[in-house]
Amino acid sequence: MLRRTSRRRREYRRRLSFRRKRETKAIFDCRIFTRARLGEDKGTNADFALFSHLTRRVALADGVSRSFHPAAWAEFLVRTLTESDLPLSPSSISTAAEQFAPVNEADLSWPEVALLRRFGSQSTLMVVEFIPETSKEINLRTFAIGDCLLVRANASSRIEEAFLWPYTASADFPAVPGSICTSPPHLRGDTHESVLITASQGDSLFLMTDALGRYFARSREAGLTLKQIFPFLERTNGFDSWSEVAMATGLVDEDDLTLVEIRFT
Amino acid sequence: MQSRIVVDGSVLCGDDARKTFDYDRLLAAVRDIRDSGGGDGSLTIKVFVDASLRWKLSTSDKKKLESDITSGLVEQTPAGLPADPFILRWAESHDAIVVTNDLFRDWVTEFPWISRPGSGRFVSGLYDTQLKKWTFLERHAAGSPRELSLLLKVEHRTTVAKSKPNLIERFLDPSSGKYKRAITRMNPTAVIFLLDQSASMNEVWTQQYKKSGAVASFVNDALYELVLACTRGGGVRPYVDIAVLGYGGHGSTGVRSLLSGTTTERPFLSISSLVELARTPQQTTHDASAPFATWIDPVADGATPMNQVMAIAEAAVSSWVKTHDSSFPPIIFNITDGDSTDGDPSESASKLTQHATADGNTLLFTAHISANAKDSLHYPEFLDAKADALARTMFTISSHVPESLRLMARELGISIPPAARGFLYNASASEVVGMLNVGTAPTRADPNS
Repeated sequence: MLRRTSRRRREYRRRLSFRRKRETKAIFDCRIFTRARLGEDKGTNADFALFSHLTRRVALADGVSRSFHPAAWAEFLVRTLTESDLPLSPSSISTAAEQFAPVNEADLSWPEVALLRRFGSQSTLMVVEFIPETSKEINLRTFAIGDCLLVRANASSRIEEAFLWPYTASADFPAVPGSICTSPPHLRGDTHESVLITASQGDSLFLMTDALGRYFARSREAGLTLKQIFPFLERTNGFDSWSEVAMATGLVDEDDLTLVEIRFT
Repeated sequence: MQSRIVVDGSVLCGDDARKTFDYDRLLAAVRDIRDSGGGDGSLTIKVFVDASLRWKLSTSDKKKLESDITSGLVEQTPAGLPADPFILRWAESHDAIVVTNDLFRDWVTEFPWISRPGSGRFVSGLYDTQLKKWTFLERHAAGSPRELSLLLKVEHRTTVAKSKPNLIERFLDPSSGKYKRAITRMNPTAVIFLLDQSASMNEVWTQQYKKSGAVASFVNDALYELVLACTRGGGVRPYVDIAVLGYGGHGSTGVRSLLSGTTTERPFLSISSLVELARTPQQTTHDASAPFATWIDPVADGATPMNQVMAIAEAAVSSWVKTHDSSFPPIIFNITDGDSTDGDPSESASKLTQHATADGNTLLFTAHISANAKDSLHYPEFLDAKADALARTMFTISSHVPESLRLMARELGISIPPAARGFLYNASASEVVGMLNVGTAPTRADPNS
């Protein structure tokens, strides 16, 4: 039994190693900017993002505040999909939901029991997976449920593509997006998207949760450039002060904020 | 055919030649407009004046204006904002004719229909100072200008693209740019329920409940939902301060603070503490439905000291806003089935809603309940002449619904017109529940909820 498990693990590592060897052309830099809404401590931040070199996936989840322990569920989802080889599909989501630690209601207060029974734990999710290269191009597969947003910019920071799923413009926010729930049905709202994106060396990808996404869409509609929209990208430790002012002045909606930047250097 | 006219009151009061303002010119205009409509009751006239007009009128005219504002015949736009966008937006949303001597040049881009030749939507007036009579003629006519009486026979529709919402909505919001603060632990909000517990609340309202029982049940529901909205990561966060004041009876016991541990002098309780006071039924882990909690019991006794409860709420709000200037302002729900028995509550309500945080004035929403749905009103923008005195008083004391809440109401499937007040008259049970949901929506304002 032990030998069998060990063999399977060796095979998994061999495949990952093989994949990494084939992909040595592209090097990825990843930065994650995240913070809780204004006036709240870090512990309340229900956004979670992770980049895994092992599985070459980056995932971002935004826990729905008005559900049961959304931060824990968002982190579990992200870890499950970045640290395993689960295919990016609705069935994998259901598998993850079933694996989420069961809760003993006797340990909970009555409002928590009410939240758990009524809403379960809910989160949006976006995963980007880097497909093994076959040419100079970098191919990416994305999978999204809810309103996490994705932007691709070229080496000159010019915005090439922006995916505002499930929206098309800033005026569409805020709506009630789809989500992934721990209680069945696990997929709430028919909003999962699976698309292929091609990027080039020097490009950058930006994944963001809804409040930043709305701000981004509005700014882009006003004709601002990426550097104007996210000025903190070129400053060290600029995100905290920028986001503080942006939320205080109403430029960005008060919410947990997360931006993931991936550069193909 | 139902016709609507919106009158630019401040402009019609002005005498350009003498640079003076005369309220009688406006009254004459309304009279002559009504005459143009044939006087068969099919004409709705909406008059807007800007907040600065009262300072331009003589003392006697000022009294007339204030009386007409109180009675709902004239609508005053918020101080610091131009009346123009209110007038134009109302005209746009009601397919109304605009009567003004202003050209609205600054607004043509946002409301292109006002300068469209031959639209018949824009009318100017000539005032004969000898006869004290107005003649109203079409502006931007395609041929010979038509008189107002002719234009009223044409059905008007805003067929051009609607105005840009962002700019106009900003101006239309009576609290422009306000009521948008997110509710956090550092910046909690306050919710006060004023419950009529007078003897008349003993009447049967719905098939299941007496008025007192139904209202207590709705408030329990609202408190329960507030607790759930504030539950995060294992605890109930102090996002909301709650007060529940019951009024019914006489003298010093006419008003009671209904949450245990509170008094009428200190009626607020943080939602984190409220959760500890809940009466919950036995929880069973096998029960599929969520556990429920209650705080308030039905009571029905004595008179209706509405004035007294407003004064107590005002004292509480007054001290609350002093320490919460950055918060979403307090919202007060007054649920009643009748008239105040201790005097007109207008002044105490006005004082109550004057208290403000940096995000806006205190909001007062009124739900008048009745088993009789006749002449019911739901979030009215104005009252017509048929409305009775009680409805007028309650309408006048109720706050305008801020734009942010109006949008949240839309998400809840409740349509509230742009200049509406938070007022229900002869409301049904479901309408009261709807109002409580709308008013407490900011506490649930998570885009991902």
